[in-house]
Amino acid sequence: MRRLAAAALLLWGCGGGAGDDADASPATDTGGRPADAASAPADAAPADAAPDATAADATPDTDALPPPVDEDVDWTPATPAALHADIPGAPTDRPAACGDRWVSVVRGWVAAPGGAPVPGAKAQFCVHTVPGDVLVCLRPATAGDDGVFTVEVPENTRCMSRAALRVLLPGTGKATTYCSVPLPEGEAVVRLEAPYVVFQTRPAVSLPPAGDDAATRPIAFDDGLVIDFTPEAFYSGGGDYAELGGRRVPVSARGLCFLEGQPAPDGLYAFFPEGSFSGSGAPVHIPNATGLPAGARVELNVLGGLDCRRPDGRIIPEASWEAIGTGTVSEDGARIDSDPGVGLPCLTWLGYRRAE
Amino acid sequence: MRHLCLLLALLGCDAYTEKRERGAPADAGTPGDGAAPEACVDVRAGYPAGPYGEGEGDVIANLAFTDAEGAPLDLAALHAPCANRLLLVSTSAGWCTACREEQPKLRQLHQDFRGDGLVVMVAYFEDDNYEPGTVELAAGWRDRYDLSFPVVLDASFAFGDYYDRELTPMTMLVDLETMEIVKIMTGYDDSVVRSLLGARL
Repeated sequence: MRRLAAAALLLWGCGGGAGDDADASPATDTGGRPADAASAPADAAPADAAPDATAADATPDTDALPPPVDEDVDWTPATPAALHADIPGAPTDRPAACGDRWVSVVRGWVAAPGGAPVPGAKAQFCVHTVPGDVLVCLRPATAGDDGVFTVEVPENTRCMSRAALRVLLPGTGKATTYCSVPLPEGEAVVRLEAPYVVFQTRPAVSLPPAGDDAATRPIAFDDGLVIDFTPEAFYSGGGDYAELGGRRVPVSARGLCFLEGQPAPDGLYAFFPEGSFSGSGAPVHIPNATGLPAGARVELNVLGGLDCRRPDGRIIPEASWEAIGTGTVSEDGARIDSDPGVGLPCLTWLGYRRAE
Repeated sequence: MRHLCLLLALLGCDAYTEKRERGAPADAGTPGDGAAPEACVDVRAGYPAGPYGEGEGDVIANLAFTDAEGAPLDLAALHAPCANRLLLVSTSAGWCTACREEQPKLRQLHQDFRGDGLVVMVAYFEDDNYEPGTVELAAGWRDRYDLSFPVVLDASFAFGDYYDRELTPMTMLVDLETMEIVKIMTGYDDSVVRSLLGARL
């Protein structure tokens, strides 16, 4: 534990200690994965956009420089035209037998931070059908060049009580995201204005060799977050141990649909690949980036996904942002440790906020 | 050959070491000789002959899979033991949240009805990234959900021909004496399934 704490402190020291958004990720991915062209700001100026520049201009006047652009935060979605295009043949006649929402088509779009579309992204729709409240998942729709996807809902699942979308770009290290789908009364065709944003993670900065699957080892992620990870307790069909990655995401970033209506967390992390932990979950140690006092208690939250199950078996549903337990700021104030018996039930998204 | 098939079936093995073409009966020499239950002592003789179909009321072809240990497993091996009366097939994929939520219910269902002749089989066909599944992931699935019944790899998604493959999971009930498809359902409704089992077992 001492070694773990030392590692976390060291890593935190490297990651900076300013407030949450101030220590947000740099605009470029330095984590070793190929640069993600899709994550460049849509309106970024080309490198040779200043033909009149002179040598004198080369010395920057730091007072005159605009504040740095955070591509997670400082962008405005430019809705693709296809989002509102006609959908020929979309069924709109709700059967009288359906006593709940009736949806035949869902159209939305996927973007990277900055607003660039993400072609090839998958959008998978799961619905609770009516009657019976039976959960069924549809094969995914694939986003086109403009990032727009269209989910055509089979006839026998159009009557529904609630639904969620799983959005990902498989195999790229981007964190999977989940959003509840609004189901307005009387609208058979649902168009989702806000983009689904997929965030690029960075490879773990400290990843011990796989070795003994039963051995618990600390794995350090972006900015010093550490998970006590036991490979044999982790199941993922979306990526391997060697691909584990994560990153801190500003809580004010665009596209955090799962936080809508929730108290804002103090800190937020995205992970890759999505997976599940068995037993009591994986303990976590988070840099105290927001300066909480020693001994302060925090609430830990995770995003429900494919298989996020509490130790007692209760499921955290897709797109649901739920508390999983508490953590405490260490005596030296450097980090937040999950309390004994508390662990991540799944590797999706993690947040924390000071407990009230 | 027939005696060899019976012996292998009794041992819980596939009747063949070679791959059979889908649709071919396990034992073409014994068409339609599904014995009456009272005449079946240990194993049933031969897989029912065709014609085979893909809807309710049809006889299902002897589909062949690979189990989570990498060994072949076909429907004939589940049909053979007389004690096996009803097969519940559930299609599952890593990307399917509904499938994952269903697994503990299947585990409980198996515990509750296996003494009455229920056989449960999960057919795992794709991973979390929508790619064809692997034996390793099928084994991981079995272990993750602590399943003691067969989890087979259906990498070619053979069961996708039996329902609307746009929707997962599928729940299918098959009479293991006649290999007739009794019911095909989209999703898994525990109360409906238990009601059907109660009526047949």
